[in-house]
Amino acid sequence: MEKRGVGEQPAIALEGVTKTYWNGAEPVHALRGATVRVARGEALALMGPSGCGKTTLLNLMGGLDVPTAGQVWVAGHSLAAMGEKDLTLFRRRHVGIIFQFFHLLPTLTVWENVALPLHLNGQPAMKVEAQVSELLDRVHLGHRARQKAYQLSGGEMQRVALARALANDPQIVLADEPTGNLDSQVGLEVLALLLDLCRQRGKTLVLATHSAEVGARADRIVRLRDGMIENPDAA
Amino acid sequence: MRRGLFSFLTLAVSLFWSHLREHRLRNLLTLFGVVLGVAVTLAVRLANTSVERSFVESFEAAAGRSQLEVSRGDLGLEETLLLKVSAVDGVAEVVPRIEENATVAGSRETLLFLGLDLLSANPFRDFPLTGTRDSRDFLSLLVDPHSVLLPRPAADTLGLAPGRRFEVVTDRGAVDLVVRGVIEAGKDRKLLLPRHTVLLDLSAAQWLFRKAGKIDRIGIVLRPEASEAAVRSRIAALGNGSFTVDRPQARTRQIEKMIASFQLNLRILSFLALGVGVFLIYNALSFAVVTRREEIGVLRALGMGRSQILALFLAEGALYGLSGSLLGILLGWGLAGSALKMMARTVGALYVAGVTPRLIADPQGIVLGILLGLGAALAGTLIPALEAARIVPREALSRGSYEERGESRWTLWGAVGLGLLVLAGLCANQKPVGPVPLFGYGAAFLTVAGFAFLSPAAIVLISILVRPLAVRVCAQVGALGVDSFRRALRRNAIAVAALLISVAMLVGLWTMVHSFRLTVEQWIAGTIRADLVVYPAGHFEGRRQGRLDPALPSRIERLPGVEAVDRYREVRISFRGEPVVLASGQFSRLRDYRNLRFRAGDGREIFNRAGRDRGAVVTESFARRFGVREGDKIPLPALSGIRDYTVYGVFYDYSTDQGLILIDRQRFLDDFGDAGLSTIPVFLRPGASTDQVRREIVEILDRPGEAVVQTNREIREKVLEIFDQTFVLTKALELIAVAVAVLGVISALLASVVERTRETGILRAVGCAPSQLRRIVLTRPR
Ligand SMILES: Nc1ncnc2c1ncn2[C@@H]1O[C@H](COP(=O)(O)OP(=O)(O)O)[C@@H](O)[C@H]1O
Ligand SMILES: [Mg+2]
Repeated sequence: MEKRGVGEQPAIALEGVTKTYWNGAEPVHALRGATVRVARGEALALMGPSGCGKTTLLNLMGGLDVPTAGQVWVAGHSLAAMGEKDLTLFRRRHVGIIFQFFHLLPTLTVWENVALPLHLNGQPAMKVEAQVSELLDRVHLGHRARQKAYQLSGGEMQRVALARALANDPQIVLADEPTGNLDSQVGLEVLALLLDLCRQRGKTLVLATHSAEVGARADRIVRLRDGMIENPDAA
Repeated sequence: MRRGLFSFLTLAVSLFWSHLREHRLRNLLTLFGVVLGVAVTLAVRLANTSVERSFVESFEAAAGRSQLEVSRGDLGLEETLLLKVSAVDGVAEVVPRIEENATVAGSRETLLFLGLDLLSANPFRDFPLTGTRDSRDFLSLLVDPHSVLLPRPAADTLGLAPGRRFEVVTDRGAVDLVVRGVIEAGKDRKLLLPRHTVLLDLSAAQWLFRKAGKIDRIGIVLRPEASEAAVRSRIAALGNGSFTVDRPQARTRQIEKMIASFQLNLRILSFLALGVGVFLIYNALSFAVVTRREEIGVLRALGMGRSQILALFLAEGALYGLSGSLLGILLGWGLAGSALKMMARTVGALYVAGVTPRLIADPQGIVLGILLGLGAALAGTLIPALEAARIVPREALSRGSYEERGESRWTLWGAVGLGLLVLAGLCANQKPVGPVPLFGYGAAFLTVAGFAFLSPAAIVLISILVRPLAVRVCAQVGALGVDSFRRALRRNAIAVAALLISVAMLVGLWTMVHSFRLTVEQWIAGTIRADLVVYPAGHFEGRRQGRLDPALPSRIERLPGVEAVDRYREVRISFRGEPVVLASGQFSRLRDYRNLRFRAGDGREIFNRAGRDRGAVVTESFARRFGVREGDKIPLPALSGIRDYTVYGVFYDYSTDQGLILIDRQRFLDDFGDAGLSTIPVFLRPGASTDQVRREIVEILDRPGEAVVQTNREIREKVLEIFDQTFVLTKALELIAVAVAVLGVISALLASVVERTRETGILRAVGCAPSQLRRIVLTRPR
């Protein structure tokens, strides 16, 4: 893995990124030359209508996908040319992801869900224990630790997902419409918690949303339309 | 790194544990697949080794210290040979013996009767004897044919002590025997006799089993300086090929040969059961991959590697395999007992009666069982696990469905399937090689594989055919059901394959058994023509080698209602080193009263010609096994040396798969010197009363109960009963087939319900009633 000098460099830098999917023989241009930089510790909102390429952009930042063309630098790693194995390791170590549909493992307990990334990183049991209880307390779910994930409400699930995303102490947190599946009151509470936690711990946060209310809470907004950045100056 | 592994295991276990509780019944059924496979395999293996070992042990025990053995199979040796053999240079000692079996009266328990020259050649004389009070007791052993000795284990199993009497069924009917003493194990010598052995003097055995002047085997102890090979050829020279001289161990090999095809069939059956286990595991894990798609996506997104996903599923399969094998071993041990009984009965009835095998511990078998269960489970897991590892997290987590489905390849698979079916057809038309229908099994396997490959094509075609109908019946809702069924081609192919395979198996088995039964019925009609048949006592309780009073047929002939009788004898001999049956009957009777179906030529003509010189007719199984044709000469071990018989006809027969040679009674007496009779078929005058004649025959028996008389109907029923027993195993297969079908369909339905919860959610949202939804799930063509 290539490394860049950290410090003055941005935590995330996407340069001229395009992404084309193939729907049979028909190309779908999800991103057409997007350039985005996110500074360390910054909370950035990606905004735009449905289908504009927000999820695609987040997937590229999170190492869940590679661009068709262009460069992707995240936490000092160049992802564009990485292989499957390295991308997996990258995800495991450097990013925490929060999804619109929570994607908890429903048959596991709350505690086990949060412990997952720690186990994947081979952390010793003591460390897992301490980290999970601390995070569950932080998201106010310490008392529900032994409950199965499927028994929780939507807001609770997303708080567990928050704790899970932070479990590994990643530099980068990516959230794809984290409030999209919650009613607005609960959504805003979860959002507040997310911003709080990330700012406190100095995480770089990128958050996709089409709600102006949500976007307004971020440090900065980048607007996407048809796979292109609408306000390149802000990027 | 070790900590990494530990963490991974923690994760794997918690995931596995959390899934265990879903689909509990289904998981149990899957586990049962492995359990059954391992259990059947182990039981068959245990029974196999136990049967084999029991025979080996009893042969070795009977042979004692002998280094060579002279034998002529069932034909028996002339007693006069004894002197000639003992005079051969290099022979230190000759041990003549009779080996027979008799059943305990009123039970099916068979005892091995070992007749030895207790006075001069008794290999057990060094063992302490209890219960023999004085020399009178010992003397009575020599002069009274009702006196026997029991080895300690036999006395214990039978619950007998010296002085006690017990009744057994021999060729003299039911006979009362007295225990004159019990042979105990020596201080440092074990008594190696099989548990159900009865020891008696040679002359007593000769009387009880109608073997006057005959010996079954002569054991030979060599002088220390003598060369085995030299002595062997010197003794063989005495017989001109009429008897064999072999090491005692050779007999074990002979038995192994005899039961080989029987064992192979069982083994194939057990592998089939394992195959079903593999299929069930495959089914269960494919289902798990479908239902846990999202979970796999999450794990991958969180940084779990492909190989870890693979390991996760393989571990789950291995867990099924391991727990299934352990339970399977327990069940297998339980099954082995009954398998052994069944096998011992079949093997005993067909080949070597008189040995009652015990279950022998088999640690290797247990290890093998675990390996097999594990192997089967992993084999079934591999493809689903690879599929799980291929899941792309981005796709698994997106709610819209961008995945492609491999519908395009159904034509290719269909072509492969058709090709396999054509191959299966070619195999099915192949003549069998040897006693094992290898091509038959090949055909069965190819058929199964062919259907499996055909199933995707079947789905597409069925969908195309059914769609208009579904639309008419249930409108859009019906169309949706059919479409979704077709869309999940790969997974549904498994279910359809399961169904097709099961149906094929059921139809195939049913057709096979019923067409075979029809053939057997025809054969019975042609072969069993006598109005009455006289059998030696105990024949239907397992004494297949009994002998009837040679004077009986002429007495029966004189009864007023009787038109004719035949004198039928069956003995096992060795032909080109293989066990076959040599039978003899009066050709004139066979010609006039039976209706054997010959491969070529007219039966009457064949018997007429074969009766004039040294002629024989052979069964089609014999002809096939030894490549013999009409007109060929076959060498048979006559008393005075090898005699060539000419084959005049080849006929169809289902009484033995080893092959049978049938020669005329008079030739048999002249050439083989065995006056024993296996059965006496009796043909009545028109109008004579069957019951009347039957009673009259029973009255003129020398000793009451020494023979039993059966009517034609009774015999036909017994033969069919035996036939049906042989096919009990196929019943088990039919059950397995049904289980596979049911499981396949259940999992396909469950999986598609799960996969379409998304779709259903949408449908519910647009106002589709639950009852309509149920219809979508159920409209899929079954
Ligand atoms: N795997 C895929 N195959 C084909 N098209 C895709 C795939 N993933 C996304 N798209 C298309 O790319 C475009 C951008 O999608 P996405 O990034 O999910 O948008 P957003 O998250 O902003 O709603 C959409 O038009 C979508 O249909
Ligand atoms: Mg999106």
